[in-house]
Formats: sequence, structure tokens, C-alpha cells
Amino acid sequence: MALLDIRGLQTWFDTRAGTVKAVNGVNLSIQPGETLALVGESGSGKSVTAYSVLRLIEAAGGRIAGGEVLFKGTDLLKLDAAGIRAVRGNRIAMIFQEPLSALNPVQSIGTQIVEALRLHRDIGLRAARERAVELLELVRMPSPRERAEEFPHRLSGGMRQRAMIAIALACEPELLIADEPTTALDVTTQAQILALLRELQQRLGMAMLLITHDLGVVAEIADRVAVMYAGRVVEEGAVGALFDRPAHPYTRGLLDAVRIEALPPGSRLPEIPGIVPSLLDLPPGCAFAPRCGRASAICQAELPALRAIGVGRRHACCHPHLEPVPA
Amino acid sequence: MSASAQPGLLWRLSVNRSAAGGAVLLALILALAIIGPLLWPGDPWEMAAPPMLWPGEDMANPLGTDVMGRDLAAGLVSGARVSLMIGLVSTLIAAGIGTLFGALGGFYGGSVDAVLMRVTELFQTVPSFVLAVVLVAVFRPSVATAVLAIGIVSWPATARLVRAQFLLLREREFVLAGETIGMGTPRLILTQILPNALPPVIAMSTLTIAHAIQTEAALSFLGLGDPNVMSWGTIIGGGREQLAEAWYVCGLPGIAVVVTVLAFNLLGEGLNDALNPHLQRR
Repeated sequence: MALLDIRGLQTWFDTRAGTVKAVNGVNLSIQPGETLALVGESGSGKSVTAYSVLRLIEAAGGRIAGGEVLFKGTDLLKLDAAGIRAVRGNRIAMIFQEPLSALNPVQSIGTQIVEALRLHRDIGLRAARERAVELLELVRMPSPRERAEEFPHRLSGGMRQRAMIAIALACEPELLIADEPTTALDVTTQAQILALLRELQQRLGMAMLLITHDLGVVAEIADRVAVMYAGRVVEEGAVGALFDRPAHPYTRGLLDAVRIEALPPGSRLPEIPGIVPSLLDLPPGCAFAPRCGRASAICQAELPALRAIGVGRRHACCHPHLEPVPA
Repeated sequence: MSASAQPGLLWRLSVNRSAAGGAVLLALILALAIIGPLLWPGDPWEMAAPPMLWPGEDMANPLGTDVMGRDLAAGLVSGARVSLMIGLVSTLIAAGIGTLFGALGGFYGGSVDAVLMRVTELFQTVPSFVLAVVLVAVFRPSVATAVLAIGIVSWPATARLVRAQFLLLREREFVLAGETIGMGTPRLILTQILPNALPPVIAMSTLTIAHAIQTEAALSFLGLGDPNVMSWGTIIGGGREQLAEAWYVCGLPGIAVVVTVLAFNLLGEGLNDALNPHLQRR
């Protein structure tokens, strides 16, 4: 059974201008121990999908309009407030993009880890403090015992992200949601944090939902990828297969945009023409059709469903690319 | 960045001229209130000497006596204790009510906020001193009623400040992160938002103390103070008939009120600068 199974998720924001359908029928599943990368440009709904899993969307003014989020068979959307609190941080944890703003500025990081532990575990203060130091050691924090006493603003960006990972891992979650965990870090630190996440994930056997727009990060640590466009998953598959044979024209456009070393010097950089459609006013057919070179009348008329093309490979396109990317 | 509220706070206060000045003045007043009764052990109500002795006229009563022959030095020392105590306790009450109203309104927003803020506005529209007079007059004047009355009229400003802080802070990502690890609402408020909202509340509370001391003096001046307690306002009220012949009876406690209020104002302003990260580089 899948660890997490998202079925037909719809998350909408009611605004004065109308209903923004940020997530509009997303289907995803994550197996235990697997890393699924959710990619897409800003506004494609990847973060909203992740926040919907933990039901953190009401605070942002949104509502979950439909669908199911099954975590080991339990629909998280149907749990009461205490039920969902018992899942948050305990069985599903989350790390954020900007560690400085996600850490409480007036508590030492040790205290914040202790807090996370004692929310879900019946553990004494002294034992929790010891465990906090162990966790900081686990995330390779230099001199963890001293760092536990430090306040977030006294740490470097990489150390803050390590502290946040330690908080997230406090209760040994089965699923870690990482919302662009390396975007705010410099390149060397990025590589270290990615290596750390990969190592911890293998060691603790947890699954990871990685939200990113960086295809390099995806290639490095993900097992599978789901590409989102305008609130829907348009293509999904194992990293290698999807990168070699992107079927959806949007995926192909994204990959072309980063494969620039193959281009002859001086040539124009490839781009996807047009802009992302407004989520307030989506076209009736395929949302990518207005920007797509392969679009035909049927693309404008009806919404293509996700269809399977081999094991674990799905796409939502009426005119998919079938040939591999030229090497 | 708002992150650095804690470290170096004492240092920043010590280099802040108004904070340091206020703290020194306050330390002197506190010292007087604490060791004063040892120097002038007499009951401030006791008629200890001939009436209307001028300060310095007789070294047994260094600050002179009032129209009843009561020692003014003993009275001033007793007044310092009363004023500081009433100022502190009533400010605690005001900060407590204000924080509760502001926190709930700011956190929940919507109709909870609307109801709490209308109540706050109700209190703000009634002149606070008049309300304090009414409250004390309705109950029997005593230290407890004075403290309660002053506390009850002083909280709306704190409530508005705390509400503004909560409105800002609840949108911050670390509050969301707290929710993500499974914190319930009370814990979110108490461990995540409130500690971050407190610095300006502390700064403002020092100003509230100053105002409470003035209000207490004014109540006592009107004869609404505790009849068994000698406060600065009581002395001023007792001396106002002899203002022309013996101005010092009103003057000395008046100066004490001014100096104490000034000390708290300086300290409050200094704290405000030291705790407000945006003003640090001024």
C-alpha cells in the first residue's frame, strides 16, 4: 500500500476576483522510503498541494474543495483537529525554504527541538535535551552541544537549515515534506544539505516529498518526478525515464531550457513561449494548449486525463512526444 | 531583522542615555523606598514635631513638618513605597488584561476581534481618570480599589499594541512551522507568538507605571486614596490650604512624583529604542 495517496485533490482560494483553483484534481502517490519530486514553475500548485496534505491551507485563506489524502489508508482530510495535530510533526514533518523565518527567533534551537519532541513523545525534559543534541549530531551540526544553546540568528544559513531538519526529524516521521529546502542557500551549502537529506532518508527509511523548481536537485536525489502545470499533474515517472523521454511538451520545454550546454555557442536560449494562464480563468481544455506547438482542436476542447504509458509512467497529453530526447 | 532582541540588550540599555538616566533615578527612588524607613522610622501619621517646620529648620525633621506637625521625610518615604507598589501592581493588571484581549483578538481575528476591540474602544472613549474616580468612589477607597481602578482604566492601550503585534506575528513562517510540528492554539500563542510580541509591551508598560503613579497621586489628592496610607497625593492634598505660607508641603511630594514619572518615562523610552531593532542604528 502506498504511504501517501492523494486522490483528486482540489484546493481553492476564494478571492474577490473569483475562485482561484490553485490545485485542481491532483493525483499522486508516494511509496514508503521513496523520494517524489514535485516540480513546476511558481504558481503551478506544488506548494499548495504539499500544504494541503497537512491541512495547513486554511490559515492561508484557502479551502480544500474535494479529494482525499490517504496516509496509510486514513483520510487526513476527515480527521478532527486533534487527529491532524497528532499527525503533524509526528508522522509527517515539514521543512521550509527560508530557515531563518521558520525558526522562532526568541528560542534556542535546542529548546525548539525539545518542544517538537515533547509535543508527541512522553519524554522527560532532561532526556529530551539529550535527544536534541543527538539529533543535532545526526544532521552533522558542528559542536552540537554548544549549538543547542544558540539562537537562530547566531547560526549560518546552512546550520539553520540543519537545525530545522533536526526539528523535523525529532519524532522520526514516515514522510518528510521539503518545500524548496535548498533555494535560500548558497551553492556549496545546497550540495551539503541535499547530500544530508539523501543520507538521512536512507538511514531512517522515511519517504520524502520534495518540492522544487530546480531540475538539477531532482536529478540528484529524487526517485520519481511529478510535473505540475496550472494546478494539475501533467506528467509523472521515474527520474531517468522521464528525463530521457519526456512525453508532455511542457516537460520537454522545461528540460530543453536547462540543457543549454548541448547548444552551439551563440544560439538563442530555448524558452517556452507565452505565460502561465490565470488560475482564475483556466481554458476549458488543456491548460498548456495556448503555449503548445503541438496543440490541435481537441486540446482546446477537452481536458486530457492522466493516462498510463508503462510502469509508473503517466502523462496528460493528447499529442505526446514518443521519441527520446536527442542526445 | 527582528531576530536579535535578546543579546546585548543590557549593553544597549547602558549606552542609551535616557535608559541609563532613568535606571539610575529609579534605583535612587527604590533605595529610598527600601532603606528610608530605617532612617526615618516614625509613623508618617504621627504628630512628631511642631507644625509647619521649614526644611532644615530642625535637623530632627530634615524636610520639615506639615500643618499637623507630621514629619515630611517619613511621609515622602512612605509615599515612595505606596506609589511604586500601586504603579507596579496596577500595571501588571493592565498588562494582563490588555495582553489577553489583544492576543485573542489579534490571533483569532474576525468576530472575536471585532467584539474585543469594541469593548476596548468603549473603555478608551470614557475619560480614564473620571472612570477611575467613579470606580474608587463606588467601592470603599483603599489601596486594593485604587490598584484595581487604575489597572482597569489603563489596559486598552496595551490591548491595541498586543493586537497589532499578534496580527503581524501570526503571519510569520515560524508560527506556521509551529503548527506544522503539531502545536495546538494555546501552545502556539504562548510559546511562538507571545514571547516575540512582548518587547514593545514591556517598553510601554514602564510608561503605564508612570501614568499609574500620577493617577494614584491624583486620586489621593482628591481624598479618594486609602485613608490609612500616606501617599504623595495625600500629602499634597493635605498641604494645599497652606500653599502660600508653606509651599514645600505640596512642593516636595510634587517633586517626588515628577522625578519618579520622569525616571519611568526615560527608562521606557530607552527600552523602546533598545528593543526596537529598526531604531538601533540611530
